[in-house]
Amino acid sequence: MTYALQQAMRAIRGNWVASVSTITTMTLSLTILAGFSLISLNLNTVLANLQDELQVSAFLLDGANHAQLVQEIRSWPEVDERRVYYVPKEEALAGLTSDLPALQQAASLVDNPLPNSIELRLFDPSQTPAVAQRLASQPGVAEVIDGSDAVELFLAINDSLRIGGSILIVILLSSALFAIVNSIRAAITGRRREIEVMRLVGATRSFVRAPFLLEGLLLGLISAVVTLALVVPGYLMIIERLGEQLPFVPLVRDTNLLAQVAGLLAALAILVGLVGSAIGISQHLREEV
Amino acid sequence: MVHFHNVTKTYPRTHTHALKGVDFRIRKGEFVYITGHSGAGKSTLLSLVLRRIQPTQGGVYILGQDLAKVRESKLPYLRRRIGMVFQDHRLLPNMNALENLVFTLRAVGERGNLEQRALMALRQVSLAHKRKAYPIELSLGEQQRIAIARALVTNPPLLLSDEPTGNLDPDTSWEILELLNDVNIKGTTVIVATHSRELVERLRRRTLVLRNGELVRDDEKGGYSL
Repeated sequence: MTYALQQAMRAIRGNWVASVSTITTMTLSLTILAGFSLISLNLNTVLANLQDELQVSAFLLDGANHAQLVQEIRSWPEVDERRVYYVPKEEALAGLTSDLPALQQAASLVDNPLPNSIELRLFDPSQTPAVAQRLASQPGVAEVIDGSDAVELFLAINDSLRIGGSILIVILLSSALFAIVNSIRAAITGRRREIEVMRLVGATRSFVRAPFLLEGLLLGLISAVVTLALVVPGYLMIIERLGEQLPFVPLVRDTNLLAQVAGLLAALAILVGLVGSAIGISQHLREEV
Repeated sequence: MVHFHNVTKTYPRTHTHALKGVDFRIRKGEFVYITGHSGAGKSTLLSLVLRRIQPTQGGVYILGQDLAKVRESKLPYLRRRIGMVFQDHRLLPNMNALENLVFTLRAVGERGNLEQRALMALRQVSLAHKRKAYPIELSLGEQQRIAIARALVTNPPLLLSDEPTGNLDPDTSWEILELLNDVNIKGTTVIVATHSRELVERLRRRTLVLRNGELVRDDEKGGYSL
């Protein structure tokens, strides 16, 4: 093992141009992957927060039987029955003038323009359009308002980001993979004489192959370390600045979650390194009959 | 030790019949020359012994094993029992003499004091004092001696040598041949592929003569006659 590690280190140093090129390509790919993952993670958090806050409001016609409506709505399986409230128009106006005191004087000059309403929340916010439609068809309901448009916009952004990001990441990881294959090919070419001697004297296949597999693993590991050294401080700086400017936006700061992302990134880098070297070996280190 | 049973080898790409119905046995402890002109099939025969290639027909039996039945994964263990010396020595240029031998021991998974064992092999070829020298700092004869030491360092019962004196002057060639003879006297079976008439005539040993892939003579008394 020590020998294989020494040989792998020697190959990385010996073919330093190919090694640096491979590490750069992999670091670039992994940094973009990390960026997309963190953006997606934060969008999901914002989305979850938004969905949690999402409520459906049904404005009622005067004289509507609100008690019967509340009872009906509470029986729907999508609706969180503990979070269905009837809001009389007086309470709505009081709430409005409390939030916006400037309206207090104006409100005293006219009749209450607000309707009675029912506010409700769902277990699963994705059911909002269906529930809103059902609610609108209920007798006594004048209008239904929900925040699903905003959620749909966020979902669309998140989905586009995920699809676009995935395509870009596949392309970048493929190029990283080919870079590793190329590095291994250079290492095999540089050690062709040694490999021939090893085979002739009776070295096992694993002995011959181990240095090249380790080289791929090391290239992956170095790339992961460089990527994390760039991404971790970069991300911490960005969320600190965003946190100051957009304090209401919930950002991912959970160190356990971030450590998991870092771990997955390192594992992926090592996997790409190993797979790349395995491909390189199988293509350029074919055994004789 | 080595048994070729009606062996034919054809290279399909060039339709070359490198060996045709070759049949012979080499017993333990023998010293055997394989002679013939260039292209007669000498190197193909050695490649078959090492199972670098497989015969088109017939069977090759080495050290009691049918090579056709040796699995790929077991091949290295067979090769550890066969020392190989080439005309161009194939020493690793970035390692000194001792390191070349240690590398071989390490490659076959040997443990313990490898330097000591490598040094013993260098003593066997009288080049212990050159252990720190790199191949480029050695004469051709010394390089070939180191190559023989490398082939012997794992104590193989069988030593193959492909044109071991091809690049050497007559005196150095004779020294190499004497060395191979010493190795044989100590019990190792030695097979030397050569087209050198001088060597075969000077140290007479059993000689197998190949011509256009056919074994045309198997002479226990030796001598060069094509």
